[in-house]
Amino acid sequence: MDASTYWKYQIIATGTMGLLLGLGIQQDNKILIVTALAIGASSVVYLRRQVEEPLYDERSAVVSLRASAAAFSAFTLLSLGAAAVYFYLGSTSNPEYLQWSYGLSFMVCAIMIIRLFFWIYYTRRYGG
Amino acid sequence: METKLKVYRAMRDITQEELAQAVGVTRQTIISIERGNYNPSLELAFKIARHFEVKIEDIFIYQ
Repeated sequence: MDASTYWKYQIIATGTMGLLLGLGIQQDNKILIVTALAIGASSVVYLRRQVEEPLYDERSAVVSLRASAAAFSAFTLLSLGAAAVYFYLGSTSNPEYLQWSYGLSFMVCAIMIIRLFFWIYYTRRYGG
Repeated sequence: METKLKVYRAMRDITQEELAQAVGVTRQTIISIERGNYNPSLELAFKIARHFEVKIEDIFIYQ
């Protein structure tokens, strides 16, 4: 099986699993939920074993790194922007919005501190 | 960085898929290298050069 066929089957399997999972949650059917998760997990394992060519390589790793960095930057900037808007609204109209502002601000601070820890870890790991 | 990968591939009559399989990357990576959209790592560049039995500088030209 080549990579493009694998991805098509993976999308179908994931969609089917999602559908069954949604139905199981909606109907509160635990057997259906467990079946959906089992089908999803086994399809991933089975399909991976059928692929003859590499699925991930250095280029996809670079793409993943760049996408993660861009997502991090966009998320923090948008969150800070939203926090500023909520702070203004909380100060002028509805004080409840202040809690949203504080929550978003603390979340951004926490993410940046976590990122700092990982930065220190990987700097030391790669000889910095 | 310029690359003569497509030329060497044509000379040896090797498809992108065969080359990708031989050096352990995806076909998309070979396509990206040939188009100049991606610069391979040193390790991958060595693997490609070794596959064609030439020097790295013969395939990848640093400007």
